[in-house]
Amino acid sequence: MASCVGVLSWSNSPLFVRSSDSERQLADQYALHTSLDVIEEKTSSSLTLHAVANKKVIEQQTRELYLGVLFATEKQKVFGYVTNTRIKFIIIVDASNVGLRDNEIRQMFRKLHTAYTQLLSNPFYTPGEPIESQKFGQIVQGLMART
Amino acid sequence: MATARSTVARAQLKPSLSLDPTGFPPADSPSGDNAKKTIITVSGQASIVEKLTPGLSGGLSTEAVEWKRSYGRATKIVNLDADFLPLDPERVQLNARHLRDIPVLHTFWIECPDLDTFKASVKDEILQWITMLRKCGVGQDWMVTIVEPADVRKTSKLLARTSVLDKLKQDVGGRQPDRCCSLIVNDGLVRFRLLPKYPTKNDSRAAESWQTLLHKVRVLALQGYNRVLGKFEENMRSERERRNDPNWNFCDYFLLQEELAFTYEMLGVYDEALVQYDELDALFTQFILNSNVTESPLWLQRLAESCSNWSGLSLNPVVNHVLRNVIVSKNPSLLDLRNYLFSRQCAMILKVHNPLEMAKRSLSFLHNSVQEINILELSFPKGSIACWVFLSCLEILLTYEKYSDSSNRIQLYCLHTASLWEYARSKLLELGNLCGLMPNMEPSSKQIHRVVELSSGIRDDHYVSVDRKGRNPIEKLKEALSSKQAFQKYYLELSELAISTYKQIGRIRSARYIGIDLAKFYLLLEQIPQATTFLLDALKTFQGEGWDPLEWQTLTEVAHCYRKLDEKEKLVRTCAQIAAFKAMNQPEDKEEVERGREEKDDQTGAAPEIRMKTGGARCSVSPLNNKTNETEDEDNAGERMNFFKELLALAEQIPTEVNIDACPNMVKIVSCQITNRSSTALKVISGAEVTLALEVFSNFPDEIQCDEIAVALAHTEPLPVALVLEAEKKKLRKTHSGGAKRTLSNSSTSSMGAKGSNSGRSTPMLSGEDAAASQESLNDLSEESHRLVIMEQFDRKQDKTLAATRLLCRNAAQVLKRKDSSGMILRDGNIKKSDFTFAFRLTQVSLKPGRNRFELNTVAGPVGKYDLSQLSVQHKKLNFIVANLKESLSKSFSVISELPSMNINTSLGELLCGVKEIVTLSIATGSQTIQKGTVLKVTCSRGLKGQQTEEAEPLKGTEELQSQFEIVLPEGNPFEVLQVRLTLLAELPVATSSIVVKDNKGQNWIQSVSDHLIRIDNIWKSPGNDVVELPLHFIRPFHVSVRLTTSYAKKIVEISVVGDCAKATWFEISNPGLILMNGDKDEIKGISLEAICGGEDSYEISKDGSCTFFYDLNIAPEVETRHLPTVMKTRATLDYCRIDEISGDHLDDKRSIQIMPDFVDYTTLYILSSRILAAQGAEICRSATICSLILDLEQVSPTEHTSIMYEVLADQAVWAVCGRAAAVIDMSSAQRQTIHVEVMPLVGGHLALPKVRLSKYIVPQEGSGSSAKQNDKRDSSSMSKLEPFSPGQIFNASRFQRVHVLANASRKKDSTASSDQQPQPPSLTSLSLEMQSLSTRSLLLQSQAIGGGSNTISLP
Repeated sequence: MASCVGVLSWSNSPLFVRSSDSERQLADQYALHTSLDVIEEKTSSSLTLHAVANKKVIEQQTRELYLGVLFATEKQKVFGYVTNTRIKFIIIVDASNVGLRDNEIRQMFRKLHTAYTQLLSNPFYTPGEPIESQKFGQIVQGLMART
Repeated sequence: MATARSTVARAQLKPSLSLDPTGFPPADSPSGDNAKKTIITVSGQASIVEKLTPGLSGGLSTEAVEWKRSYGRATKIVNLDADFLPLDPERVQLNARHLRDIPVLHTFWIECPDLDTFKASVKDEILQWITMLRKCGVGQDWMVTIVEPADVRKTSKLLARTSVLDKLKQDVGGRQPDRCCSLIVNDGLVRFRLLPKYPTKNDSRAAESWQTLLHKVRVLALQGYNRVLGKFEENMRSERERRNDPNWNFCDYFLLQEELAFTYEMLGVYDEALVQYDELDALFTQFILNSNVTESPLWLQRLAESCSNWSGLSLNPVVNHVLRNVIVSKNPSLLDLRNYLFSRQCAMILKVHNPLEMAKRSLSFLHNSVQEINILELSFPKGSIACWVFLSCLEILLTYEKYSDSSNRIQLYCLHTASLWEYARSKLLELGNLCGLMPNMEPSSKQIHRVVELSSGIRDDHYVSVDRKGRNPIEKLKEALSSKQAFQKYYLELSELAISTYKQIGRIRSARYIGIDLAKFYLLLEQIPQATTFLLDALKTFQGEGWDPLEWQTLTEVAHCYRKLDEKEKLVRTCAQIAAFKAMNQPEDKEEVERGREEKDDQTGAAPEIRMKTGGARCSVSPLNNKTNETEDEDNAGERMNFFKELLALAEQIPTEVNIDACPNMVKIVSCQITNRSSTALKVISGAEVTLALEVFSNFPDEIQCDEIAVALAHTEPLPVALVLEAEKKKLRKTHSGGAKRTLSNSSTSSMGAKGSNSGRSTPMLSGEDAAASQESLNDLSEESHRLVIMEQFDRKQDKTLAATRLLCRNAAQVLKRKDSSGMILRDGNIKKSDFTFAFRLTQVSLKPGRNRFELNTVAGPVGKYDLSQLSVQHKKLNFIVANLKESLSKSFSVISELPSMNINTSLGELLCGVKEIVTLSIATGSQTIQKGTVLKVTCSRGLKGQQTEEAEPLKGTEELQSQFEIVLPEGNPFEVLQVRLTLLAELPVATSSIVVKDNKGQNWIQSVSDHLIRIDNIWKSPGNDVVELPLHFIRPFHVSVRLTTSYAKKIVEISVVGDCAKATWFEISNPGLILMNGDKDEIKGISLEAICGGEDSYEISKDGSCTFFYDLNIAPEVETRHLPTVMKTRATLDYCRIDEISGDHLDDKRSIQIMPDFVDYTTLYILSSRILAAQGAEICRSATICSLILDLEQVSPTEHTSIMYEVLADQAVWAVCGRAAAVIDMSSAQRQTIHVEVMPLVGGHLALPKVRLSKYIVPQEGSGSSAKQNDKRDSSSMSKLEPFSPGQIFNASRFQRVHVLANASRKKDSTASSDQQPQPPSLTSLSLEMQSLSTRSLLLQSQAIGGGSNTISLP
């Protein structure tokens, strides 16, 4: 379902990136990186841009972890999710996946968040380090495999 | 019936926005649907209708009215604009598709001045009309208006319910009487021609009726709409339900629902119109999405057949009839339909002035459309879709620009346009590639043909938006595709626009991403500097956030640029960065990871060692799952190696030395430790060799032959003394509390875990308890380094007077420097090499990949603190530098120069005078090395002697003690403490300095101390000038005194020794001796001393113990007094020796002390004894009776003082002297005299005898001195003088005697003074018998009376 799943640290450095298609890996990285722009835009309250545009909407958005579509291109849609500790989850979905519902994306993020929480519970994992856990990797793999 | 085509402004939703800013051409084209108006039919009296309709159509639109809608839909405010047409029974039915042609209201107009007329003809006419309407099926939407002249109304005013209107309502209105109304006209209908707008101002009634009429027409027309639309919608819905019917065609339905949208648009309810289009959009989208799943309907398949047209979207608000006709002909392409639909949606959106909404929709519209083309698998020629997207983007942007002029919304505007610009740019790039317009291409004939083909599929019509140069999007596209130059120019323009728009809204990363694309384009253009700029910008962003793969990618491209530019220095830096790139695939890492993979799930992430080894470097986020990544890694490794080789090759080529910041990942310090040969590594003396054990991690893929590895030392001058002392104190406190030795520099750093990826400063990890202490000291250090060191400075003139004083801050620059950015500025690898004058160095070594251990040496320089500041690894002309070690490691050592210091320790506590004592002289060597045999000169203060001794207990030695002596020192290394023993002997002080004070008990002596000094030449500081003075305190061990006591004519000398030292030290006192001294001779003629007792014994005394020796002083009676010397000089000697407390062994040499007391008046001259005689006959004295005091005075030694005055000094409360209280007695005549003095006791009891004082009475010698003197000072010189006797000269034998006096005055008996006088000498036994009542204290006093007039000399 997802073509790429990324976990970015609070300092915007990548902790975990996995693409379903290794050839698109670099492009996905670029996409993740640029999506940070939108995440910052949506999460930072100081930014007047959205506040002016639609105050209510932004309030709702900041209250919710799920950010919705960050941006879309012809080929893919990028969804974002920011935890309260400013860890960013990004899921890239192929645009051909037209039947995908918002709820399904939310569910994927929820799963990802749970997996990340479990990862953090591991005493041998230092927050902010690249994620190497296989368990986490499998869950992500599951998100990408599900059709 | 003329229907005036008015050009009145079209109806507006909001009256305030009635002025259209868009400047669209008025919709006056004959085919323009916008010109359509609501249709209201008119029937009835033709003349009236003809006159009224212009006014009506004008008047209707002047006011808005609330449209109450059916089905509970939101009410709208609508401005109705209507055409009044004659009733055509053929066209009233709702069978047509053209909703707008259907009249919504049917009106009937007739003039009816009075009721009679009404009854006669009008009523029938109206009813006939209504019947006709009912036949047509529109019987509900009617309205009848009666035109009445004003005056008629007035006449019938009095009669209620009798007006024509009332009648009309009654007869025709039925259930809907409000559909009947009347219009009042003033001066007949003539007025109508003159004034199109009825009525005049002067007739309010007429005006009112006109307004009411207009309002009624509006309301009823809208009610008609409700009915018509309701019917239409029902029809439409049923049509929609048929959508799965194979014959159903979307185009038909589209046109049907669009009719509804048109109607809403006509009414100015644009949002409702938009809803209709949105519904159509949704329906259409759903069809396409479903076509994926189920078999697509026929019409959809036909939709997919035509792929020959890819004209862009045009946002002309006017209905594009060309497109619409295509739809009408049921032969549109997908793009036609989409273009038309979106243009209509935008038209509606723009009409409510919400261009933002349009911008929001546009991007997803484009994406969706492209997606739909993919879903339907439409076979558009290559590039055609790109053309469509490009054209559409430009059209949207152009339109948008036109609508969003207000500059305050520029940000919002950019938010949406940025991605459109980017989309257009990417599509143009795609086209450029397809058509061979890229700089590195030459268009082939096929490509040229493609351009022609693409152009042919674009319809060039219906554009209204043009850019500043007056080109519409098609012209732009065609121009861009026309030549390489034009393409490049336009592409660059677009790219810059996209970048700047992204930057405008703060999406830097997106801008950077385009920048990279642009850089690639510039590279193709061979404009490398421009490309480099963009790449470097991007690189900075990637580096800042740790996007390793992107950084890697960009780095290689940057390197490529530099190679092309031949910028060797920069190339070297980039090569170095790539060669050491994050150690993407360190072998050990990989192994660990491999191993981790084999392990179970929950252990994988948990290999702490891995992290240790990577040294906190952010691992690359290389996915672990598929094999391609590994091959990729291998590719990377190969590439790294290539760059490394290039680096080494460049190292020889470059002309100048290049400093490369190796900090982030090339070379990393794992640990380092400063060691010194001596154990105190922190403090080093100048010239000593210091070693740095350095562990470095190299990320380079291969070995580097280093010319030199050096670690620079930053030298700081020592702090001023006061501060140093303070710091020392602090440190002392710290080390005491921590219980750990100085750990600042010799604590081993086990790993350099720069955890918390972005925290620049790493904390060295320490083990055990050292950690805490060193952490503390680290804090201390940082605190110290953050403190401003402020010091005084005195400027002196040449004559050394003060000229100025100022405060200096030495470290202001360090403390106040910016900390945040100083590292970042130099991040591009250009780093300044610091001062390597003082540095640890190691030459000619090889730096292997991974861990390396080196030992670097240096020789300590001048005094001061040395901090590690930079690591430099030099390979030929390359210089890899790791900077800011001071902050990251904070390792340092100090070179100090400390002068030796001396101190004296007394081993046994107090020192005693008079005996040999051992003290230890401690010499702390400081930073100096002391040669063996160094001689120190020691000078003792007066009364102190000493000598260096070797053994611990040498007190019996015979070596001579001297007041000046020399000490020979043993060999001493820096920071040692040398100890030298000294034997000291302080003289027992004689008399002078001792303080003799009696405390309350009158028995103990307060210890007396004698202070001495030892002066030692400080040969280290300034030889010959400086002297160290060490004070010493000696305590007197015992106290010796000599006194002369008297008993009648006998004299006794008493020598007493009292122990005085605090501690239990025992002394043996022996061998006392007392001899007379007379000049040179040891004897005085006629005087001899004889020991009374204890002369030969020795006594042992300790604290408060005492011993006393007595000597009888005999004066031969034959010697005349005048031959005796007035001063008797004596010499008392004693031997003392410190002895052991238990065994009594001598611990020291016997020493003697000598006291030489002198005695004057050492003979007794007179003995006085007094008694009381009771009155005659009585035995006992009674109070208030006169007794006689008898004084016996006996001369025992010849003396010249024979005139003696006695004075009876009685206590006046006790005795009353009745006789002569004072008189002069001449003793020259007789040896013994008795004097009677009458006294009277005033009280009873045991009374002390009255005191008697004897004085020398010196009679003035007559004839002596000159006569003049006699005259002048007769009185004074002729007066006799009284002089007291010395204490020992008179012995008062009855000094403390008492007499018993009976207090019995009342009997008047002759009291007998019963004196208890006893014959001499007074016997203590008899006294005690008689005076039993006396207190013991008196007894004591009595016994002391024996020595009454003693001559005491106190000795220490």
